[in-house]
Amino acid sequence: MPAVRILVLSLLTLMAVLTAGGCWGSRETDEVAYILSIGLDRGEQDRFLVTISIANPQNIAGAGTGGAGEGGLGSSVIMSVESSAVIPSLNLFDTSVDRQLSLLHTKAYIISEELAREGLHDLLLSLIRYRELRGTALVLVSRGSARDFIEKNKPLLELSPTKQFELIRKLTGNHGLYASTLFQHFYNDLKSLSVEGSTPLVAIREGGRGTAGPASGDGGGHVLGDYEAGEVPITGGNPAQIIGNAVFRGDRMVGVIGGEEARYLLMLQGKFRWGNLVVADPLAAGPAVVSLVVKQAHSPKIRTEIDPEGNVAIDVDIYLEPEIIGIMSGIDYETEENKAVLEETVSFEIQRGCQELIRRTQEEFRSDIIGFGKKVKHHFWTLSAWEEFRWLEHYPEAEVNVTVHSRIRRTGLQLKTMPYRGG
Amino acid sequence: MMIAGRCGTINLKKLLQIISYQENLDTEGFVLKETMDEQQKTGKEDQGQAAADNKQKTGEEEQKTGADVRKEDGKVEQQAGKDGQKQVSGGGDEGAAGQNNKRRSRRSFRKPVPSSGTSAQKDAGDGRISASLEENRRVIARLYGLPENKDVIIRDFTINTVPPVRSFAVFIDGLTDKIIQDLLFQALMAFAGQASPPGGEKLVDLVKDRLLPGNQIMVTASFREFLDGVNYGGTALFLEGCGKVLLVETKGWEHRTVDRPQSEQTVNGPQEAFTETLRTNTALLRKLLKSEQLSTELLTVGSRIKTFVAVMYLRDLANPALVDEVKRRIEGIKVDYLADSGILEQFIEDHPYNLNPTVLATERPDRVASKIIEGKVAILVDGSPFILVVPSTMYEQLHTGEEVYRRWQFGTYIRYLRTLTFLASFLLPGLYISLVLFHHEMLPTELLLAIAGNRERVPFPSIMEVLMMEFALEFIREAGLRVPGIMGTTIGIVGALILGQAAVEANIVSPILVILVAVTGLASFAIPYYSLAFTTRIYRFIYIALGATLGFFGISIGLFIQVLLTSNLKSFGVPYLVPTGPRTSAGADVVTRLPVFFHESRPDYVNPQDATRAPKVSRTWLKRDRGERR
Repeated sequence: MPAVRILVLSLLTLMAVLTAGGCWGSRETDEVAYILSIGLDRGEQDRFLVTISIANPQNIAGAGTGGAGEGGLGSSVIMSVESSAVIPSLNLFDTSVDRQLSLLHTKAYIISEELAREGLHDLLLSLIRYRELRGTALVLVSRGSARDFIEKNKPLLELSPTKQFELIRKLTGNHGLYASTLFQHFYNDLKSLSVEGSTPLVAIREGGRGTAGPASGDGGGHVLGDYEAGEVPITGGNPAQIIGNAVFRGDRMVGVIGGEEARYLLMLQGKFRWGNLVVADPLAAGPAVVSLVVKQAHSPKIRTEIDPEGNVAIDVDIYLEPEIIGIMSGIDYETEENKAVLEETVSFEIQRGCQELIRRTQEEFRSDIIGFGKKVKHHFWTLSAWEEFRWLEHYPEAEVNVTVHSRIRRTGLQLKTMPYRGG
Repeated sequence: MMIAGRCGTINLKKLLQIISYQENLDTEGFVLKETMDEQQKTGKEDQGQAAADNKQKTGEEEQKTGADVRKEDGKVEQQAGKDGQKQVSGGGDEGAAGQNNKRRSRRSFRKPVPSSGTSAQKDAGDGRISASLEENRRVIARLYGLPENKDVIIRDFTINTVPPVRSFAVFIDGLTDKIIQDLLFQALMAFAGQASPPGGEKLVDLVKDRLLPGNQIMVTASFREFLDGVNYGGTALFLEGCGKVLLVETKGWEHRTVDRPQSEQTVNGPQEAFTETLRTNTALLRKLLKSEQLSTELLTVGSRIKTFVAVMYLRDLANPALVDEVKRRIEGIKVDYLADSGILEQFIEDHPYNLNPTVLATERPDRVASKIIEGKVAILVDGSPFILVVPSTMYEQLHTGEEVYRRWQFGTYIRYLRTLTFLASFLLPGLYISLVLFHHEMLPTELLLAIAGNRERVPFPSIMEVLMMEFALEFIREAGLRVPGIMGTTIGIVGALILGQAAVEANIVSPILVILVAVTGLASFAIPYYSLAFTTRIYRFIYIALGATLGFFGISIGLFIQVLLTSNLKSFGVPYLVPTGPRTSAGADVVTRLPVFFHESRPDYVNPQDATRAPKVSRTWLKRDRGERR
């Protein structure tokens, strides 16, 4: 019977394949320790001080087994070691951890400012090649030591320590106080000839209320979020803060922009979704402010021109749709005339901020983190011509004009402001 | 190198040509799966059979239908074997007796040897009914093994004519309808009143034409027909001085009434199911398809015990080649007893070694009717409430027929849901095990940590865990079927509490796995055709093995092989995966069920005599067509 023979043969083949395959690549979940975040500092004796935070799944999943804090272990275990390279250091950790360390679920790479200012190419090049690297991990630059940040960062609401980093990516859309960067994008930006890298800035807040940063006082020009990480005057809760961005030129960090400037960065890139904004009340006598929710209506229009001498002129039109959420002074900004005044004020504020950010990137950082180069590139027919042009060197000399167009379409839940009456 | 070169030349056009449906130019319309080799073999077998028959015929002078008679032999022989004396005396004068004795000397002496050549067999084989009542009674006693056989009743009576005619009736107790029989006896014994009955053959005509009120009466002179009639619930009347017997149809045995479907329940649509009685089943179908074109051909299968097999189809619709092929296969079955349609299915299916069933069995008349109206052929087996429909495709086996009774949006939704359950029922555990063992990066971190955290306390490797849970579910399934009805609730307690909760609390399995196995079980139950659900049940374990050893790579290999194996199947000449296996015109009812007014043609793959089901415009009450509405 040929059919029986085929059946038997195929069964034998299957068995041979299965036994020869032999499950060698398989790893049970209880044989692996998942590194959730890695902190990288400059080591004292060796090149790096690597800090890892390992998930403790028993505590994360063990909702039914008596809650956390029972065994004294939190949801993660933090360890550090000095090593000359990042990936090989995992083997050093393995001398004290009984499980195989895995980078498959590493959601954040936290690099200390000190290390970042020295340059990251030896770090990134050795990481990006590794099979287990997650390209969608976050890259963060920490003011102060990364080890400190990992140790002191205690997201109070999260059971799982990685959720914080997943939410960080989403949260930027709700306020725009930092521009989040994934590992793969950051790496591409560093290689690119048309844009430079920038990463969110994190820090552990130390000290009390008094150590506010360069936030301006009350009065005119009062803008929300003019802080850098670690300077936001919050008391209580998680001391870890994430606001502002680290600016890179090449693989070296060259400076820091605050939360407000990060918003302008996002607006110029067209990635700003919405955020609350405060502007000084243009019509009020006293130091009153108007709060608004600002949305980006659509992507900015960027027109670039390049003359034969290689001088670049860039015109950026940003389109915003603010919505009034609070008027301190009680002035009736719903009327056509007043609305136009308010729109003018918002546009002016943001236009000034954008111009200031561009000035800083041109003069202070000499780094095109906004990515104008991607538009300028269109003037070149071949890649080699573009490479020869050396945009990143031309950027500081480029002439950039920003125009902001604001249209208040909605005034919140109130259509008309009524003044208080009587006594 | 050569293979690589060949592959290179296969372009897209060629590939499409290969997988597209091409009309079969064979006049028969079928590609029979017989190879030349097999054909020769069957031919040889037939020849061998004929040779054996010839031998028998030479041994016995007047035997006409050797094969038919053999069935009787055994019975009589067993009877005769008890008293060897009689047998020897009966068989002594036969030509075949010598042969018979030879065989006996080789075998155990006590074992009755089934062969031709006893006196009773001779009577039946002769097939001639005697004019003498006593002679007939003697033969009947020998045929039925009277008086030991208590089922067969011989009732003597006298027909009330002037002068009276002695006669007796033969029937089997329990197979006949007593009310009809009372009517018969009443008519003959009380109301006959006919003067001067003629003698001989004319007497039969008189009784049949003027005296007997039965609705189906057959006159025969053959003992073979007499036996068949009585065995199937008829009443036979023997008349004095007449060489013929009257067979009156008095079937009336105990049977289950038409009930709701047990294994194919629906919300919408008819709620009748087939029963074990062949005639009820044909009537149920004919009730739905009231047409003179609906043919019911009766075949018999079984050499020892005959089982009626009815083949039903619409003469003006079904492809004659298909009907011929169905009959050819059924007639070609050589078996001594056919117990159920499930056995017939295994005898006539194209691919006995593949897991997928290529014949559809259903217990719902409306479903069979809808298939017959598509030009397919239904096969009914006496004694089986499951009717076979051929040809059958996999898509059809995932239908319930209910989708058409519902509005098309609902039907389509259910179909897609079922697609999901079909895939889940054999892939889910395999995917889980490959994710947990090989592809940790594919799970969201929190889910992975949840799985890992729950697995921390489980002492087994995950493959053991999965297999334990899967087998536990299989145990529950099997036990749930077999448990006596009174103890049915224990299954719920044992299954849900012990396996679900206690196993988790005892850290034998992780809770996520319990959910997974439960979902897989549900998905499997949601597959409407029981045989197909069985297929996925077995495939599931193959995928677990592949997932545990090779991860997603293994599962892709498995899927590839499964697709190859399945697309290679044919059901009575029709590819199993049509209209996707070979691409053919899909029609309006495959996965997405279009509104009923788009069901304009019958399935292309059946090649019916009339492919049109409805004209382009089936809702003629729509006054304006689209063109005018603009």
